[in-house]
Amino acid sequence: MFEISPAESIALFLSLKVAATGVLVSLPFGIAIAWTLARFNFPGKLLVDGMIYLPLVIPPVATGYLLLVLLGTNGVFGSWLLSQLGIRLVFTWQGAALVAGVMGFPLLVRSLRLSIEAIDTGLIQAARTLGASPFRVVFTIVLPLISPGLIAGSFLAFARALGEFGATIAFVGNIPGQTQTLPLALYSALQSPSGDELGIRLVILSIGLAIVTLAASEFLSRIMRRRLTGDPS
Amino acid sequence: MKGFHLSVDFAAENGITAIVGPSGAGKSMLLGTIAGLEKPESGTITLNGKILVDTNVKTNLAPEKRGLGVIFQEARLFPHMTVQKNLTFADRPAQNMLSEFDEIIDLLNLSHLLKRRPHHLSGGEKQRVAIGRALLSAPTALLMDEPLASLDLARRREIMPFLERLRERFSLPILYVSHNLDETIRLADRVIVMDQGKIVAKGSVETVLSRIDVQSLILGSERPSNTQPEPVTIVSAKVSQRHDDGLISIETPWGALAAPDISGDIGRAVRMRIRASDIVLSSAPPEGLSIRNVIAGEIGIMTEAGSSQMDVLVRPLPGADPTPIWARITRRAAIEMDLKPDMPIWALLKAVVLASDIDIDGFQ
Repeated sequence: MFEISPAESIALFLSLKVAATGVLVSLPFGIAIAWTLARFNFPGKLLVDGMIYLPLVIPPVATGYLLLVLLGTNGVFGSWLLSQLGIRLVFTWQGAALVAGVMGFPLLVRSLRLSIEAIDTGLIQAARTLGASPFRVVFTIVLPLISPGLIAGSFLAFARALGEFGATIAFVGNIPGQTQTLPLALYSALQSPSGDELGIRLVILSIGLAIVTLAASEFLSRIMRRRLTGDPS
Repeated sequence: MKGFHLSVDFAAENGITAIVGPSGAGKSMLLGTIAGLEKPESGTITLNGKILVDTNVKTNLAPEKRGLGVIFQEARLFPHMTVQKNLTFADRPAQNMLSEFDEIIDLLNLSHLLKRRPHHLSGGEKQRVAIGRALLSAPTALLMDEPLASLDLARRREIMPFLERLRERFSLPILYVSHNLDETIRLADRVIVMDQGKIVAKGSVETVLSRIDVQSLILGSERPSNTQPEPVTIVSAKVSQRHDDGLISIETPWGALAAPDISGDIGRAVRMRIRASDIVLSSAPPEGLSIRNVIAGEIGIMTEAGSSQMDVLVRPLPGADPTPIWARITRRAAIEMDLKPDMPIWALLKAVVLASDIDIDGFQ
């Protein structure tokens, strides 16, 4: 029987908390940016598009270092955050959640953008002529129609955040109970001469978590798609 | 679309005002501009004294504030909602809601569809739901943008009676964009003809649509460019009498005519469309023919219709302003009969030509 030790469960729940917070916080921004990219043309659109995909293509440790430069206690925004709002991101789980959000963002935006582009604008027009304000249109038409993409994108970003290592260790370090998520715990285990067994256990845990996440994503997406079309497939 | 000029000036009363014209005439754009879905660069639109658009004072009311019901070519039902939810989507004052809901459901025969999703409806059913949804937003006017164009013939025939009931039941101004002549003849109370962003004719269906220039404008786009469309005569009639032998009498501006049984009670108004090639001309009062309907008149204008045929306009006598009749005959007949403007002529019309109501497919 596979029993999870207290130390492992701390890392597991920290991983879930960090990834979930990161995705949830990045969701409104993701929707806004995906909507802008899908529906509007503006100068510099290509640049914005490229910037969003950056975390996907540059070395994660570079992303972590950039975040440190910007948001570290001596960083440009970091010092302001600390002195004005008392917010410290470095070496905290909130900082880890920020990293999770940033690293998952390209996947989230991509998925949202595809589903926004697929919305028939005729439906939005029809809703407007029926007296719905743009605000009401968002909640009654747009969000339900993009829900499959929203769920798929969120879970993908979540799964990506669960596996995040390089940017996290560069930005918030590797503090057990604070910032030590599953991949970081695995890294620590592999550093120790007697950590082989723990390492295997953490690998199995990570694989199990990923499978559960992807299965949940598929299941929810199917339910949503069925609600949209009424097909019992 | 930039640089497109709409120059229109009209007032829509209750009943159906059809806007017809070739594709690209700006009909749909006109409707979109009225609905608030297209933004005009300059112009004004008022509805019952309410200013919808006035670019001089930078007013452009949002579509949701215009109180107009719009029915598009595609039904545009919300796929994630049941029919019931679609129908009640519009936010509207609660009073009268219940009684009117039942009435509209009944009128459009939707009660058995309420729990279904749009996905499982036929094209005709979808369009009926769309009409009901627009009506339930309590609009001050209805805008219909070729609501039948995306349906096949059977579905169009299915929807037509509902549109007729709609016109009879609700005293609403309805703007109805169409490029189909028969649809217009059957449904419209008035007609506006547009071409290249401008109104080229407006008035009663009979007067405007009997004009040959209007007919070739509307029909021309559906035909090869080298053939002259056959003119049609549009006339309104009323069922006046039923006879034992199955024939009925209809009252027309040309007098009483015999027609085969048309459904409907005495007094029912119908509009008829008569092809020019269904008319036979005679230079003397005919005798010994099977033809039941003879209309005496004189020749108006004569126009060429291709190399071997002519279109002759017959002005019936007497009458204050009787609808003229188009006849298409061969050029040889015209020469042998020595037809000239103003000479007396008899237009012969077989009763069976008046057989049916206008079928919306008649011209395709």
